[in-house]
Amino acid sequence: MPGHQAIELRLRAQRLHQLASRIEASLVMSLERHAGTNTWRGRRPLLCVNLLRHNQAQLHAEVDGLRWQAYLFDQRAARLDLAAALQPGRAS
Amino acid sequence: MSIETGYQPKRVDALNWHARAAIGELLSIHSSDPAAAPAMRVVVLTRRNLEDQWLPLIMAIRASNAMVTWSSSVLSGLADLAERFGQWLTFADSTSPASRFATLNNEDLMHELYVAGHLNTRGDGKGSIAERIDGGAPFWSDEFADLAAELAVRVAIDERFALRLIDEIDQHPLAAVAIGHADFPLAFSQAALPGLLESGRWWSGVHVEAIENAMLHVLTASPAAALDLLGDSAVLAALAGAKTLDPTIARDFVRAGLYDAIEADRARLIDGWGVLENLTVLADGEFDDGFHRGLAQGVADSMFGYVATLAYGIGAGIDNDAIRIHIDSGDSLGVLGDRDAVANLFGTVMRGADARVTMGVVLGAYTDRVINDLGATIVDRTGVESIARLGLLLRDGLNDEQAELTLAAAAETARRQRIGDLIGFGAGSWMSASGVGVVTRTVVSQAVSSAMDLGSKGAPDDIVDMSFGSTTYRGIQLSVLRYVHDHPDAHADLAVDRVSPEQWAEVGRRLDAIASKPDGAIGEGLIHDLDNLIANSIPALDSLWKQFAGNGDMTRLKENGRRTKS
Repeated sequence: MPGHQAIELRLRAQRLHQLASRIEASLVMSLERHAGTNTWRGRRPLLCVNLLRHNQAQLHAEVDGLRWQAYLFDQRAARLDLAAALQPGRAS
Repeated sequence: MSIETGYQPKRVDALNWHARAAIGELLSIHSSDPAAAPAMRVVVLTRRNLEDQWLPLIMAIRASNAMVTWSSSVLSGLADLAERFGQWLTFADSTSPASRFATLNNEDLMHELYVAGHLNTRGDGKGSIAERIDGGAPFWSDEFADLAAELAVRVAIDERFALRLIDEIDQHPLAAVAIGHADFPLAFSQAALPGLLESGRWWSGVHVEAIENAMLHVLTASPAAALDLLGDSAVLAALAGAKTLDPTIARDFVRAGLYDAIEADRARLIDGWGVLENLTVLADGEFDDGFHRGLAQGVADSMFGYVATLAYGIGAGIDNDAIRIHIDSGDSLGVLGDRDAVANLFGTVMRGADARVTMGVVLGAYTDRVINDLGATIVDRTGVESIARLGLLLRDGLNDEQAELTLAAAAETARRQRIGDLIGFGAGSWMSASGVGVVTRTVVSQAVSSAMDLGSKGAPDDIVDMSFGSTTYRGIQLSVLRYVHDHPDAHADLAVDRVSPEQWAEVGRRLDAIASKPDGAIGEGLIHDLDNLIANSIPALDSLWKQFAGNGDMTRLKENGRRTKS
C-alpha cells in the first residue's frame, strides 16, 4: 500500500499535468490568429504580436517544465513505494 | 524600409473580444504548488502584457484613429470616413494631391521654411510643433503637412537641394521635424542627424523635436543605419551628453543599433563592439553623473547580446588585464579596454537606476545560461567563475552600497526567472526589442521592490549576508544545486549518484521553498539551513560544490572583496 508521501507526490504530478494541459489549450496560445496583418499593421501592432510570440514561447517552455516536474514526482513516488516494500514489517 | 500602418475596424473589434477572453482565462488559472511557481509567473506576465500593451492599443484604435501618433495627422478625416464604411484603413500614402508649396522654386521653398521656423522659435509659449498640429493651430494644422511633403519630394529628387538642406540643417531644424510628417528618404535622416546632435542646442525645443523625429525615422526604418550613426564617435558623444532628449527614443535608438542590427546581421557584431569601445573611452571623460539616461538604458538592454563574449574576455587575471574581445571563441578581435576602464564604463551606464537594474537582470540571466549550458561538465570546465568575474566587474563600477544592493537584488530576481535564453543574439531571435524591455521591466519592478525590502530591513542577523558578493555567490550556488537536482542523468558524471532519493527529495523541497519564498529564503534562514544540511549530511554534494567554489574569483565574490585600484 503506498505511503502518504507517495500519494501526495502522485497527486501533485496529476495537478501539474492538468495545469500544463490547461495552459497549452488556453486562448492566448492561439490569439495571434486574430491579430494578423489582415487585422492591423504597423510598428505598434508588430511589437504587440512579437511580444505575444515571446510569451507563448515562454509558456510552451513552462508547460514542458511542468510535465518534467510531474515526471520527477512520479519517479520519486515510485522510489518511495519501492523503498517501503523493501522494508519488511513496516506498515505504510 | 517603410512600415505600412493601418487596421480593419471590424477585425479589431473581434480582436478586442478575443484578447479580453484570453485575459479572463489567464486570470482563472491558479496553482498553489511551489513547483508550478515559474509557470504561474509566466502566466501572470503574459496576462499583464496583454493588459498593458494590447488593450491600450486596441482601445486607442477603437476610440479613434490614434493607432499611430507618429503618422500624418492630416489623415484623420480619411480615417473617420473609412471607419464609417468599415473599410481597411491605411496610413501609408500621406502625400496630399497638391499644395501651394509645389509651385515654389527651391529658394522660395527655403524662404517658407525659414519663415515657418522663425514663427516657431519666437518662443510664444504655444508648445511643440506636434502640439500645435494636434491643437489645430493655424498654419501648423492646415499647411505644415503640405510643406513637409514638398520638402520630402524635393529632397528625394534634387540631390543639390538635399545637400544644401543637410548642410544648413542647424539653421533649419524644422526640416528635420518634417521627417515625422512626410515620407522622407532614410538617407536624409541619417545625414541630418549628426549636424543636429553636434550643434548642442538642447535648449531649443524645435531642435530637440527635430532630433527626435530623425532618430525615430532611423530606428524604425533601419537598425543598421542606427548602428552606423552610433559608430560615429562625435554622434555617440553628443548622445551621451544630451540634456533634454526623450529617454524612450534615445533608448530605442541605441537598442536598435546595438542589438537589433546585430541580430539581423551578425557580421555587424564587430561594429557593435566598436561602439562599446568608444563608450569606454567616453566614460573616462566628463561623465561623472552618468550618460544620458536613454543611452545608458539602451546599452544595458543590449548587453543581453554582448555579455557572454564580455565575460569570456574578462579572463582569469583580475589585476588590470586588458579585456580582449573574441567573437565565437575565435581570434581576439581587439581590446575593449583595461579592466578599470571597462568597470568604469558599466559604472557610468549604471548611474541610472533603470540601467543598473537591467544590468542586474543581465547578470541573473547570464548565471542561468552558463550553468545550464555547462550541464554535467560544470566541474571539469571553466565557466562558473566567469559569472563571478562579471559580477565583480559590475560591482567594481559602482560606488555605493545601495547601488550594489539593487544590482544584486535584480540579478537574484532575474536568476529565479530562469531567463537564460535571453542571452545572446541568435538564440534570442524570438525576442523583439520590446520583449527585452517588457521582461526587464517586469523583473525590474520585482527586483526593485525586493531591494527596497532588503534595504529597509537591514541585516537581520549575522547568519545573513546581503552584500552583492554574497548574494551573487548564493545565486550561483542555488542555480548549480537546482541544475544537479533536476538532472538525475548527470548524477553519475558529477559523482553525486550516492546521494539517496530521500536526500534529493529533501534538497528539492528546500530549493522549492527558497524559490517560492525568496523573502523567507533570507529572513528565515532557509538558505542557511540548506547549507547546513549539505555540509553536515550530504558529503557528495558538499564535495561537488567545494570543487568549483574554491576558485579564486568565487572566493573573492563570497568574501565580497573589492580590489584596490592600481
